[in-house]
Amino acid sequence: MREEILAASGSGTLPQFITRVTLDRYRSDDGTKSTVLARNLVAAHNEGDVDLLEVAATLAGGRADGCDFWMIQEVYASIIAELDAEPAAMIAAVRALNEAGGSDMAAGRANHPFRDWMVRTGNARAVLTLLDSGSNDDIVLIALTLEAIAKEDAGTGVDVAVALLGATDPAGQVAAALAIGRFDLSNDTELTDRALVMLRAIAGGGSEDRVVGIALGAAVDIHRRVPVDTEARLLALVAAAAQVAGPETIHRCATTLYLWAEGLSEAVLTALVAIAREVRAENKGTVREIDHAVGQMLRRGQRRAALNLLEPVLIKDVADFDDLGSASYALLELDQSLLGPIVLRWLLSGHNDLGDATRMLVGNAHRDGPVTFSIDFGPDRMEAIQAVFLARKTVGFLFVQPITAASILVSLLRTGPAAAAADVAELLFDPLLINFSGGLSAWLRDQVAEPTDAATPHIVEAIARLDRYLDGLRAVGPVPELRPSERERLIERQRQQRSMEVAHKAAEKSSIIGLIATRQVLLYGNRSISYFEGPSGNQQRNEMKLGQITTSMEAPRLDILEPVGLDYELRVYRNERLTT
Amino acid sequence: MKLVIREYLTSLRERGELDAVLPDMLTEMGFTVYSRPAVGTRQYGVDIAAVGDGQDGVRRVHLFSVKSGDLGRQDWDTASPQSLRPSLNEIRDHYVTTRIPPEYADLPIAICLCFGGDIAEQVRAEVTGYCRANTTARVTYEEWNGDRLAQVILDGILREELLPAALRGHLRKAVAMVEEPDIAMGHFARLTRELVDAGDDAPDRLARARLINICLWILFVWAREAGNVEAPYRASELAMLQVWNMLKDVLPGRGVRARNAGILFNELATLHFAIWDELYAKKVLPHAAVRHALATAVQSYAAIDVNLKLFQTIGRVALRGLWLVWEVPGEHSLPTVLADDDSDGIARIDTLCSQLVEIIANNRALLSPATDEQAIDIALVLTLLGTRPRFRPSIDQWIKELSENAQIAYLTHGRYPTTRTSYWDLVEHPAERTDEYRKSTTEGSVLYPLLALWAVATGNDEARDSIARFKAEHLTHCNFQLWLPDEDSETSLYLGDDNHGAALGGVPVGEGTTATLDYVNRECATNNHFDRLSAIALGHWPVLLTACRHHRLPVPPQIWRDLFPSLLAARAGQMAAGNVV
Repeated sequence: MREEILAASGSGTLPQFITRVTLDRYRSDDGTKSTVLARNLVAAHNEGDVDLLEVAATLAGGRADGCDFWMIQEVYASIIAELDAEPAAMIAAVRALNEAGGSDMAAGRANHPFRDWMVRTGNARAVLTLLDSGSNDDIVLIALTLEAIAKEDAGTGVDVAVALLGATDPAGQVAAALAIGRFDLSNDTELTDRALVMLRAIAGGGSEDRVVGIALGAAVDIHRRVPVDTEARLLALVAAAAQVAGPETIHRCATTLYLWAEGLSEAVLTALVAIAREVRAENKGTVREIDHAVGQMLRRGQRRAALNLLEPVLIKDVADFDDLGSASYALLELDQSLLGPIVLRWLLSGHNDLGDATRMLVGNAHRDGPVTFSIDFGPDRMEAIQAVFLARKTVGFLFVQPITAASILVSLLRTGPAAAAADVAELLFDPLLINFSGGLSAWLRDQVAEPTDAATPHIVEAIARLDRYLDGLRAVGPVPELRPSERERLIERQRQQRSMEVAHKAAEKSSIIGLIATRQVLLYGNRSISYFEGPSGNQQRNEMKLGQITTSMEAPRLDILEPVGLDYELRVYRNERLTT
Repeated sequence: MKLVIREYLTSLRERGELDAVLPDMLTEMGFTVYSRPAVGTRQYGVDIAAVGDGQDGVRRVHLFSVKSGDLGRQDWDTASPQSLRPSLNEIRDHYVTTRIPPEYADLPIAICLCFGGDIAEQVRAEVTGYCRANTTARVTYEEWNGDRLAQVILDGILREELLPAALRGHLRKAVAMVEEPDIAMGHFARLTRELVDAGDDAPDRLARARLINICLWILFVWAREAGNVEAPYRASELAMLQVWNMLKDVLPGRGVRARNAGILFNELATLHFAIWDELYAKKVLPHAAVRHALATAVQSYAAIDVNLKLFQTIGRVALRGLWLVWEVPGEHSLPTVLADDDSDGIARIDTLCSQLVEIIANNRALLSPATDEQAIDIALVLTLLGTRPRFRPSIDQWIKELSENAQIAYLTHGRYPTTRTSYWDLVEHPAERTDEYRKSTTEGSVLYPLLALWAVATGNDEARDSIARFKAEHLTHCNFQLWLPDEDSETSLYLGDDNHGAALGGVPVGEGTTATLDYVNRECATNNHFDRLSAIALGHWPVLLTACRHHRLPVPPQIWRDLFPSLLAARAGQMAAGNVV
C-alpha cells in the first residue's frame, strides 16, 4: 500500500488513488481497507514521503477531477488530527476542504478533526494569530480554535472569547458566540455566569442581528449544560433579544426550538416561541425550521408551546398548513384524546385559517378509516350557544370529512349542553346526512348505543329522517323527460374525462413514484416482462403482474342538487363569529 | 306507415282520445260532422254523427259509437256505461227515432261500431249476430276497426298530396326516436315547418293544420307508450304556435272556416294540455312537496343539468297555469289579479301555484339561476303567482333569494347567471375564476332588470335596493335590458325565426326609487307593436307566452300592464292598513 501511495503521489493521482481504494472498501464491505489506507497515508505524510496537506489544497475549486470529493474528504477527516504539520499549512488545507465542499452541509467534516489536531499539537493560539477576526470566511475556524483553547483551559477560552465579543468585528463576535456555546463550563459557575453576562450584553447592545441570534443560541446551549441557576440570565437575554430580533435571530430561535429545546422549561419555551412566531412569510427557511420545531415539540410533549408557535404562523398567513408537513404529521401522531382538544380549540377560535388547518389536518390523515373523535364536553363546560357555534364550525370546515364532523356532533349530543341538542341534531341531518347518505349513514347506525346515551335518540331520529328522505326520492321513479339528452350526457362525459386527464397529469407530476421509477407505457396485457443487466453483467428477467389501485369518495348530494345554496351555507358557517 | 298509424290507433287509451281525432278524419273524407263529442256525455249512445258517402257511394247518416283499443267481452255487453251493446241499443231505440236532424231524416243510416283495435274472437259471433238481427232496410251496421281507421287516415288526412313521402319519413323518424327527444323533435319540426310553408290557400291551410294535429297525436301516443313524452310536449307547443301562425288570419272571421279553425286550434290546445297532464300532472307534480325529489329525478351528476331541468319545469308548469288564468271568465285582455271565488278554475290555479311554491322550496337550485335566459321561466312563474293575492309573500321571498344567490355566486366566482346558452359553455361555467371571464359572461342581462321591475311593482324595496347597489358596485359593465316586440315580430314570433323585436337597454335600478317601472312604463306607453300582435289582438295572450317560452324570448313587459297596477294598489292597501313594515 505504501508503495502505491508513493507512486500515486509521484504521478499526481493521489486523490484518484484514495477514491479507488475507498470504492473497493465499499464494494467489498471490508472496513480494514480504510484503516490500512489511513495508517499508510499518515505514515507517508509524517515521514515526509508525501505532503497530504499540499494535495488537499489542490482540491479547492473543484479540481478533484476523476475522483469523488466526498470520499477523499472522508479519508482526510479520519487522518487530519494525526498529521504533523505547520499551522499555516494545516489552515490552508482545511480551508481548501471547506471550500471544495461548497454550501453542502457536509462541507465542514474536516473541522472537528482540525480542532482535535490543535488540541493534540497545542497549536491553537498559534492558529488564532493566523486567522482574521474581521473576515466572515474565518468565523468557523476561529470558533474551532477557541474551542480548542477552551479544551486546554476553559478560563483562557472564556477570556479570549469574551475579548472577541467585546471587540467590534461582527465576524469575531459571531465566532466567539458560536464557540462559547460549545464550551463545557458545567463545572465552573463563575465562568458560566461570566459567559452569560457577556452574551446578554451582546444581545441587547446594538449588535448585528446574526450576532444576537448566535448569542441567543449559545446562551441556550450553556443553559442546557448548566440548567441550575442559569434560567434567569437566559430569560433576560431572550427578553433583550426579543426587542431587536430580526430574521437571523428568529431563525436561530426556530432552530433552537427544533433541535435543542428538549428539557427547556415552559418559561424558556414561551420566551423563545414569542420570538420565533414573528417569522415572516418570505423567510421560507425559517418557516421550514418552525415546521420541524412544532413537530419535534409535539413529539416531546411540549404541546402548548408548539401550538403557540404554530397558530400565529397560520393566522398571519405566514404559511399554509399544507406546507407544514412535519407539524401536520406530528399532530396526526397524537393520541385522539390529545388531538381532539386541539381540533376543538381551532374550530372554536373562529379563525378561518385555523379552521382550514383543521380541515387539511383531517384530510391529510391517510388511515384505514376516517379520523373520529369521542370528546367529553361535560355539560357545564360549554354554553349552548358555544356548542351550536362549534357544531356549525365543524360542519363548515369538516364538511368533506363527514364522519369526522359527525363524530364531533355526536360527542356534543352525548355530553354537551342539552339546550344545544336540537340545533346540533339538525346539523347532523342537514347538511351532513342529507349529503352523505352512504358511509356516514352506516357509521351513524353503528353509533347507536344504549338508550341511556343522550345521543341515541337524536341519532335514531336523524337516521329515520334520512330513510324518509330517501324514500321520497325513490318514490318519484323514472322520469325520462327530466333526464339530460344524449348529446348533453356526451358533452358532460367528455368534460369529466378531460378534467380527469388533467388531474391525472397533475398527480403524476407530484407523485413520488415518478422520482423513483422509470415510466413505461404498456399498451396491452396485465403483466409486464422486461430484462435488465445485473451487477455481474448478466441479463436478468423480470416479470411483474400489474395491479389496480382504486379509491372512491362520496360526493355531497347537494353539490349537484343545489350547489350555490350549499356553498353559501358552508361559507356562513365558516365565517360567522360568536359575539359576546 | 300504416303499421305506425295502426299502432297509434290501438294505443289510444281513453274514449276521449279516439273520438277527438275522428271528426277531423271524417272531415278530410268529405263528411259533414254535425255532432261532436261533448265531454262526459253521449247523445243516446252516439259519440259522433256525420253525413257522407259510404264505401258503396251511398250518402248516409253515420252514427259512431266509439270505443278505445280492442273490443273484448268486457267492452261488449256489461253493466259498464262504456259497454258497446247498450249504446247500440240506445241508438237504435232512441237516437234513430228521435234525434236525426230533419234535413237528414230521409237518408239511410249506418250505425258504426268504432274502435282503435280489433274485435276479440270470443265476442265476434255475438257482435255479428247483433248486427244481423238489427239490420233493416234503413239501418245498417258497419265495423270501423283499427285497420279501417288507419286506411281512412292514410286516404284522408295523410293522403299523398298533403303529406309527400319525404314528410312521411320525418314522421316515421320522429316516432321511432321518441326516446331521444332532441332527434324526434328535429324531425317533427322539419315536418311541420314544411307544412306551414306549403302555401297560403286557406282551405288547404286547414287541411295542413289537421295534418299537424294528427301527426302530433301519433307522436304523443307512441311517446306515451314509450314512457317519455318530452318530444310530444315540445312538439305540441311548436304545433300550437305554427298552427296559430297558419290560421291567425282565418280565426277572426265569422264563417264555417273560422269556426273550423277555432275548433282545430282548440283541439291542438287540448292535446297540448293532455300531454302536459301526462308529464306534469301524473309524473312531476305529485312529488312537488318532497324535498329534492324532482332534482334527483334528473339523474345527472352535473349540477347544471339539474338546474336547467328544474327551471324548465317551473316555466312549463307556470305556462299551464297561465292558460287556466286565461280561461277564467271575466273582462281581462291580459293577466290580472283574480279575485277569490269558489270556481274550479280558481281552485286549479291555486293548486298549481301552491305546487310551484313547493317545487321551489324543495329544490333550492331554483333560487340560483345558472343562465340569464332563465329569466323567461322566472317571469312566467311570477306572472302566474302575481294573479293570486295569496301568493304575494312567495313572490317577495323568491325575488329576494334569487337576487341574493345570484349576487353571492357572482362575488365568489360561483355558478352565477351567464349570458352564454350553449350547453358546452354552461357545463363548464365558470370556466375561469377571473374578473375578465366573469365580465365577459355578464355583459348584458334580462334577469336582474326583471327582478328589479317586479321588486318595484310589488313594493319589495329590500330586493330592489340590493340589486341597485349590486349594479352600481359590480355590474357597471352590464347592460340591463328587456325585450319588446316590434313590427317584425308578428311574422317571426310564432315560428321562432331569429332577429325580431327590440332590446330596451339601460334599464335603471335605483335605490329608493321606482325608476325601473317608470322607465319601462314610458316605453310601453309609446310602443304599440305589442298590441298589434295577433295573439294579443285576438285575446290569446298565452300564445305569446308560449312563443316566449318555446323560442326562448324574454317575456315583454307589456304583458304586466294590467297586473302591476293591481299589485301596486294591493301593496298600497297593505301599507295603509299597517300590514307592511
